[in-house]
Amino acid sequence: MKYGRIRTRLVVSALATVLAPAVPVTAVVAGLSPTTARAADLDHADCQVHAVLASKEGDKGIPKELEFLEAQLREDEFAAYKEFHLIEQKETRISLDKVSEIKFRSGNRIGLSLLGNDDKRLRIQISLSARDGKKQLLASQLSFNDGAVVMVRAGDYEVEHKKGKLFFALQCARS
Amino acid sequence: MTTEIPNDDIVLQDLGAYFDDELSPERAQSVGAALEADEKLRTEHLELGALRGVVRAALEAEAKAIPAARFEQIWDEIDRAIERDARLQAGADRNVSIWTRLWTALRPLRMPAVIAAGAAAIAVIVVRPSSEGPNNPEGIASVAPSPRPEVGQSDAPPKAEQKRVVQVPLAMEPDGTDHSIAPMPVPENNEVEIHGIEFGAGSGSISSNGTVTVLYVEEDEEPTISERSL
Repeated sequence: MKYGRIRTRLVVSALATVLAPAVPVTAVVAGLSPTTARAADLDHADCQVHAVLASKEGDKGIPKELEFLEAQLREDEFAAYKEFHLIEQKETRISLDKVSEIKFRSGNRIGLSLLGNDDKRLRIQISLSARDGKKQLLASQLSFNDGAVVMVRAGDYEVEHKKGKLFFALQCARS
Repeated sequence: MTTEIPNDDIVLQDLGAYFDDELSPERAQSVGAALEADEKLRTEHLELGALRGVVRAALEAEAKAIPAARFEQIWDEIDRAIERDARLQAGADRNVSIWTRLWTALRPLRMPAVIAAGAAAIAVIVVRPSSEGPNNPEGIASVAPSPRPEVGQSDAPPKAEQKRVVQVPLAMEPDGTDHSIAPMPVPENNEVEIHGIEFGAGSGSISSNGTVTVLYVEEDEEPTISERSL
């Protein structure tokens, strides 16, 4: 009798050991674990592009409308520039695998499309055309957190007698 | 004749100087001979070379980490200093009176001008008419009275002359509409992962430090050769 009870306990214990790992696996399969569940696929996202003239002349620094980029514009990459001017700001909604094009006064065109996402990051395709529109200067696939800034320097530019380098500050975030 | 130096006399300082080629020829020869004879010294000499290589590699890596913009900033400072000097020099040149410069410039014409002026004065005295009316209304020099504007007509110039030059603000669309967009908040983690990149017509480079990622696109097909490209 005593031997039978011990045997039953051993069987239960063995079964528990075998079945225990299966419980979380079942939960994941059933979609019960939010931490490992797959992020919902987005079919669109919102993007903003700020065209910025960075000039080596002057001493006005960063204007109010570009203060949101202050941390970036204070980096070494921009150490040579004394003034920044917002030339244009554009926003667009981009769709999955469809190219949305933004045209700028400089003549440059930026093409954007959404390639995918995970729970934190967006994967974006970006292209930049030359000012005459004939050549493509850049094509890249990037992924970043919502709102992260990617700067693209697109050569010399002059507007209202201000000379400098033209930068495009790109940001995208889920809608 | 070679003067042998006991190896104990060769200190690390000598080895360093030998490595840098800073010893006198006699001393260098002695140290060289000692190196050949003593394996321990040779090892030390090799280690010195290796250490130097490591330091150099570390410094070069550090230099590479400095963005090109920093170097560009240094060049700009140099350019500005040169321009400032040039401006000061030009300013010093400008301090000479305009009359003095004009007088100097007209030096070759001075004598003919004096002769011509004298001849003109004589001609005026000799050929002067005896009587001349105060102001001949039909004369070439007469000025016709301008018609007075009628009542209600303003003195303002015609509309064509009133054309205003409209300065388009930098952050304004060409059509005049100001699209003020609320900027997206920039996240703390601003890292950008680049899965693939192609630079088209020109060349390009990437700079990324966690706070900002910059894709540099160069549109010029022909690279510009300048001191800055060194």
